[in-house]
Amino acid sequence: MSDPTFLTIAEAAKLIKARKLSPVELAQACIAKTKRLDNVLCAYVELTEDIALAAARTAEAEIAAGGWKGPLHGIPIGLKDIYDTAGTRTTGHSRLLATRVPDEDATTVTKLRQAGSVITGKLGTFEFAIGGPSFDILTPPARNPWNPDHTTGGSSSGSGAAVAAGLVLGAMGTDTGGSIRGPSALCGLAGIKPTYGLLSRKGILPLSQSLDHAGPMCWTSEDCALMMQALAGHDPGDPASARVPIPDYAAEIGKPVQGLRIGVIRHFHETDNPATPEVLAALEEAIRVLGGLGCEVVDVTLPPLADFAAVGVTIMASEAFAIHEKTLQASPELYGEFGRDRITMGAFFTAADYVAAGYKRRELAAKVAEVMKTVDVLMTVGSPFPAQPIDAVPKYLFFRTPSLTMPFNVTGLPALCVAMGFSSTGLPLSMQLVGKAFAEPVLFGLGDAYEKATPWKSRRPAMALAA
Amino acid sequence: MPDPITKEAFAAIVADRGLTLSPERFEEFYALYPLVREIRARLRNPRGYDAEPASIFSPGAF
Amino acid sequence: MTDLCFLTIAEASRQIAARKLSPVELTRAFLERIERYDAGLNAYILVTADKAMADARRAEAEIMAGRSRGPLHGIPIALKDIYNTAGIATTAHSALFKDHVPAEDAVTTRLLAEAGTVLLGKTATWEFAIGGTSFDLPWPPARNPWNPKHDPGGSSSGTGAAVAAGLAMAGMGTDTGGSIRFPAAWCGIAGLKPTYGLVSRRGILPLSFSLDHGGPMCWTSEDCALMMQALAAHDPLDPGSADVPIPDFAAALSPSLKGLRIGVPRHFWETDVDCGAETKAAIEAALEVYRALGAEIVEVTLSPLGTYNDTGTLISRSEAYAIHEQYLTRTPELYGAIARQRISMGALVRAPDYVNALRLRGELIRELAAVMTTVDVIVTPTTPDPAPLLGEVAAFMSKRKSLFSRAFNVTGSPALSTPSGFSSDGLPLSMQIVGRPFQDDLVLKVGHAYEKATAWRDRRPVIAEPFAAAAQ
Repeated sequence: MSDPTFLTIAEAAKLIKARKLSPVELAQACIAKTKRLDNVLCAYVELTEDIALAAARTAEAEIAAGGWKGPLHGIPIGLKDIYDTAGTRTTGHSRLLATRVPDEDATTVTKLRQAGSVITGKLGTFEFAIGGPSFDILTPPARNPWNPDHTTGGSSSGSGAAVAAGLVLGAMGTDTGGSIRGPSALCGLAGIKPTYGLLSRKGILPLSQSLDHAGPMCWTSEDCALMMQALAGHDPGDPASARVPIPDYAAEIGKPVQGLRIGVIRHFHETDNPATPEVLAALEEAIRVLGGLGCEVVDVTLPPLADFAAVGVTIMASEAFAIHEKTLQASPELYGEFGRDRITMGAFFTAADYVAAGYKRRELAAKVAEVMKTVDVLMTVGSPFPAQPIDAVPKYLFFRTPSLTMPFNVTGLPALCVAMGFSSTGLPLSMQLVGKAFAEPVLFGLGDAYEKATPWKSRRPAMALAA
Repeated sequence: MPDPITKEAFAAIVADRGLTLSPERFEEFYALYPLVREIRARLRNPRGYDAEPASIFSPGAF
Repeated sequence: MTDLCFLTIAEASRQIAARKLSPVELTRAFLERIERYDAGLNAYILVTADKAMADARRAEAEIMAGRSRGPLHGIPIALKDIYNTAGIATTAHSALFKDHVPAEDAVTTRLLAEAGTVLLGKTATWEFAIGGTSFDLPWPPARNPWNPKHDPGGSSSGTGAAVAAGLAMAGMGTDTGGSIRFPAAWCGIAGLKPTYGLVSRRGILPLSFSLDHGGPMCWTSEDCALMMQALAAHDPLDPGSADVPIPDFAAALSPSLKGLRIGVPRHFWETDVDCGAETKAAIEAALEVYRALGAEIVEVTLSPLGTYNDTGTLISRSEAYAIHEQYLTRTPELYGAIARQRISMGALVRAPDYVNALRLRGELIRELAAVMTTVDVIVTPTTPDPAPLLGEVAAFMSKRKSLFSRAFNVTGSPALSTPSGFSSDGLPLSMQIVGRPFQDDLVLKVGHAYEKATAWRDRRPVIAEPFAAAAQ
């Protein structure tokens, strides 16, 4: 085995099941690589080596005894540090919670453990999933393995860096306005914000309850499908949890995508929030590839991106301020500047604004649903630009420029980011595929077909290649 | 873009919202406030009494 | 004639089914009584006499042809004037909506029509179900039939007055903070705020979408059960509507309450609110009746009533302002002073406060649910005192004199108000029975058992002829 840390979950699972790959060796390789790279990447808030190795040994023993649990068994997985872990510090990457140790695992963490995965530790995030990239919080911000001078995007920044660099094979992120898809896009991953309500948020530090989504970030779409299988399911502990049948998320992997109708939301990335020429060119090339695979690609028009952004920003800022007001008043010095000021924006919205955002949210969702009747998948870019230098991210970017990811937090529709090549500077580019509610398998199938038709997934960040 | 509001009016809003801001942060949020008003205006469109927001209430969900 | 108008639905429907009572005669009796007495009570904004007679004739023809639609067939009812009625003005008792004629019926309006009811007319309400007893509107406020100098409560004031006075056999109210139970209490009738989501809100002018409930107001709990059978139905187009099994409400009624556990949050009226001595005595007497019926009385503790009230008020004002904002900013002069002032309060609420109120709401729901794992229902008074003089409600209702109703809009629980006796002045006293979500049938059963065990339902208001004559 050359470098097991760059296996996909699907590949590693086959080898582990066949007892050709030892979960202990795999975990050790991931940990060794973390020790080699993480002083630069800062992907981790805390690597829990002993816990990881113990889990790997348990997995190995179980599998040796014929008790293989499924594709996540023995797979090293990292958690954004807003997922509660019993007995392990969960900080929200904030000095405010520097010593907080939860008693219970988040529901999704329990599910990952039950599936036999090896939890390696807690990954960096924007402070409370909103304040970053910041140098004035608990630990420094994660850096992009494709170029450590650049940001990973956020807020699931450590998850993005760790998966791209092969410090883990999969990671959990959360997404309130694009926090899974942004870092997935900028780090060259596949990352899905599932349908609202599909994954439990119980035991995850909230940013904005009506927009928060949990989801996996992996190297490939197929790996996202495998993680979703372990994660999905109704949780009475999350008031927004949906009661829906859970499909086989890998059902469309490797299947032809001929005849799928894809609606390109051209105005989103061409006029509403114009992407760079390089991104636009890559998207056109991706559209050609999908056309070549037999997809029928048409243009569609949705309401202006700024309408979605207005709804999302109003709800997010209001809910975030409601959560943080007391601690912001009592200990403002424990917040980083970005987190403190972005959250404070919520104080300026009125109840009538918030309720109006609720009305508008329904109106927008209805219009998107109308368009979704004519296509199977919507398509736009994952990010309008490749990763910026880490010290050049504007504090109020989100308020000033309408986000290309927020529309699908507002509508709750599943949205998958898929790597679509590289910039001239070698930074990843990404497309975003959006499905009908609870139609994740279609997205995974399409993402998988594209990944297999293009060479992008064979390339890994140079700094993370074997020393 | 809505008309700018005066610093005095903004100071009253800041006080009403329970915020204590340093002079620098006051200026920063004062400069951002037109953005809030733009967002606010964007959420308003004529809608009938029968409009419903995205999420309502479900006593059984708690 | 008066005798016909004082029948319950249960009694009348048996006679109608047996063809001993003609819906046409019954309707004519009500129209005559409205003609005679309503000038002194102002229960109606609009009497739809022609439609009522047409409805009654159709009902009679169907029944004679053997096509019975059930216990509401041929029963004359009234609708609070915020229920949309196709082709018939729906004014919300407001100058703003004076000429508002909806194209479609509210879902509940339609369900009642399909059940064969006869529409007598549209009843007075607090303006937009919030404006209080107001004298600056195009129509006067309704008065209390037990003493027309007194207030009927609100906001479903006209429905409360009409049902108590025998000007309708039953009616519909809406309830955002108590607007069914409050006038039911002061007018001495039974009124049910069903579980949130059990009855469609579509086509009812909203006040606060997450707290609004439509529900029946009748002479008895049994009649409320008969109305609920027609009203309870999943409405896929009402996003708040619940898709739940619908019980047989009437079949659930029984006089025995053996084994029932009744929770009593005495701190609500002993410490949280200044409750009148007569109301307190009536509730203790009612609990004795329940003991005799086989129920067990259990002391329970909830958050202070003020916590529930503040949560409900903040949500209600915020949502009301959001609904009215565009109209209130454009034509404030078309609102009465009280409605304008109350709704405008919502403009002052910060978004994070509204969000926190919703979060607190969740906590209160969980608190009540935990308590209700140990008891089947909760009993409280409905109001701290009987009706004051007309128009004195606002001054009368301070925080220390708040109703006991709003808490259960916050939790969405089914809550019934039923009379628990009379004050020394002859005004009705009332209690509230609260159940677990979607156990509306149990709540009605508990109310029904009490009504059967007491004599309060035998007494009707006597509307002084001279007053009626003078008013005409």
